[in-house]
Amino acid sequence: MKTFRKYSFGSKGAATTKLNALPHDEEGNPTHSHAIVHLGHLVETEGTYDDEGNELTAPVLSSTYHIDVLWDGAPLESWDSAMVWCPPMGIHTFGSSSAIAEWTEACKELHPEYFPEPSEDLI
Amino acid sequence: MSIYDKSSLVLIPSGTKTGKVFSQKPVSGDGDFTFTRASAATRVNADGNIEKETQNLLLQSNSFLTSWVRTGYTLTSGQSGYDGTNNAWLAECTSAGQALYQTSNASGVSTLSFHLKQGTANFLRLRADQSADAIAVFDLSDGSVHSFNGNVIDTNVVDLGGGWYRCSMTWNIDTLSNVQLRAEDGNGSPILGTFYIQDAQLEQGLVARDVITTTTAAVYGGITDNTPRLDYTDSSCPALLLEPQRTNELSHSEYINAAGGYAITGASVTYNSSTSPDGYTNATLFDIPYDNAGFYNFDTGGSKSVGDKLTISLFAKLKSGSVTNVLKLGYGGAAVGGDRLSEFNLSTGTISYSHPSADSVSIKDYGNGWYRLIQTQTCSADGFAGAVMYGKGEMDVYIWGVQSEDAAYATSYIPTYGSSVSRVVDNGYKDGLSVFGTNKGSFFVDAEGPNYNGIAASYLFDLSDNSSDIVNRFAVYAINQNTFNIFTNGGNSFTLDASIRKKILVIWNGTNTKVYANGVKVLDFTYANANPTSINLNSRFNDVEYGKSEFKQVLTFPTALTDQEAIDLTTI
Repeated sequence: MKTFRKYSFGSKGAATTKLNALPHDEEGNPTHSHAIVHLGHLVETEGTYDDEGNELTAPVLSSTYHIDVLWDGAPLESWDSAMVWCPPMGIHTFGSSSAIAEWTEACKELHPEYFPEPSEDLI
Repeated sequence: MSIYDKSSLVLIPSGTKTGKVFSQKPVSGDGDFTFTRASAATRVNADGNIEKETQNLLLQSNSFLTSWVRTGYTLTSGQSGYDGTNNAWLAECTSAGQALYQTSNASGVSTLSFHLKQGTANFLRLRADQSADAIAVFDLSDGSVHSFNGNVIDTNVVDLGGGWYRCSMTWNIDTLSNVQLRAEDGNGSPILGTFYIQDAQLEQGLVARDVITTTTAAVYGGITDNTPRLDYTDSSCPALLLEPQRTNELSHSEYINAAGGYAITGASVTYNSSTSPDGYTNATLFDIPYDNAGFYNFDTGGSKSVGDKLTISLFAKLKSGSVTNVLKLGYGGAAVGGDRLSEFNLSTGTISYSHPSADSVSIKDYGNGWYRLIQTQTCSADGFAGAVMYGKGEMDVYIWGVQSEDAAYATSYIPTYGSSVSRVVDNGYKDGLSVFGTNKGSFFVDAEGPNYNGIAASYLFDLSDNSSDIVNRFAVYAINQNTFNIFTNGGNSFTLDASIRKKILVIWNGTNTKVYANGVKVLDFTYANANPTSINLNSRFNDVEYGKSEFKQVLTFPTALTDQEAIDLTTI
């Protein structure tokens, strides 16, 4: 089973340290089968641009450094302190339907506030 | 004796199942390759269409007694359906003000469809419930869309005959609460009454696709997790497509709208205007009235660093406009030093201008007037890069499948519907083989690739004993776009364009090793005693250093083939 989780670190260096602790061979190649995506510093405030695409104000980036992992199995507990949750739309996901469904269920259980309730007026 | 009679394993990719690519020989199945990919993907199928993952996210899609909240509704099965079965249901609303609904947390661009037929109620309302909801009302007396409002992108009705219609509504909503259906009077008020219902479906994307029936869980089909891709690009014979992990950094690849970060300048757009390369009516029409009208999008995955490689691609088809007018595509912004756009003539399917700063520019014919336009760029500074598409001259052009990858070449299309998406790496391998002789054997591939990634070696194949030991090793990999190395004892390099189709044969006989490529002996060196037991395609044994390759044929032999056999086998 693959498990999708999101992580936030204080710096790129902190994230790299964590990644380097995953199994590697003597040449530095990963020998684990987890999929890693570096999201880096997320855009917290979009930039603004004129009609020709020239930047008027630069995007504002997060100070934290973000990584998404598709674990081959359960997430490593040693990573739990960096795990973060967010509403299920808009940033990044792996294209695995089963992993997305599991993540959505886990997120909903931990953070129901990210999921809209049915309208009181169903009609 | 034919060369196939002499072989010990024949893999001509044509049959697959989840996690497996079948070999034709040995027939015992001992030669079947293991395949893994922990995500969905796309391919060009036998019909020439780009095939995606399909899904129905609703539960009990044609059994409305469970998973559906039906307060105020009575459902009776066994009704005559649109498909000639008796699988339809009669729905009777006995308490006005109620809706038949199912909880769903689907997110992004989604399409809800029901097969419906009027009873005593003519007007039926579909609703995607959230604070910013989407509503469409259908008139089943004539199969028309009565009204819609909210976050609706599009509505559609397909006449199925016999009074049945497939009614669908498409929206873009961050996260849903539920989807609903109710009878109403056409003026916004719920009513008591009856109607017939069959096959509900909720799926990603701009259109309703083939019906998928679900029971207790969502069902996914098409090119889903661990489904090998037999790709028919440019050929009636498929090839096994293996690619590295990649991300489409754009959060919307088909819904070209401000919601996905697109700034549409000057042009007007119409969604679901024409058939796209996936065979569905989900292409977006851009009416471009003058030079430099089009879009830009800086939602390309955050800040870039100098030296980063970026590749933009999209599918385009000219609807109308002068044959001399062109579409401009590339990147803009500080990271690339301003607009760096190449120009593509969609009438002739040619590149009319390659921007001098681009690493590479290409155009590929996808049939029916569609072309995939591609440009790769290296960042010249730290900063942001925007995907840019402009017209040059007045033109109407269909657009579909916009993709931005932080990489040195384009890979297969990765659809996105609200978040950037990563397709995970393909692995194709076979362990525990005993298909070679003792200290002798031959290994042949007919393949395209591997595309060199501009950074590290890209492996075409790796024969090994599943360890990093150089003994028992024959690994062929590209170290740039034109040079291959063979990694073994006494290995060497040979020149071959990585991007072209190639037939490569490695022969070892206990004394020396020869390598043939496209009918020519390219290496001959002393090396003895190799006894590989595993084959990895498009990667090293330990699943690193991937390129992008397509394998049309893989053969193994227990003997060292002769020079003439090698020439015959590898000549294209």
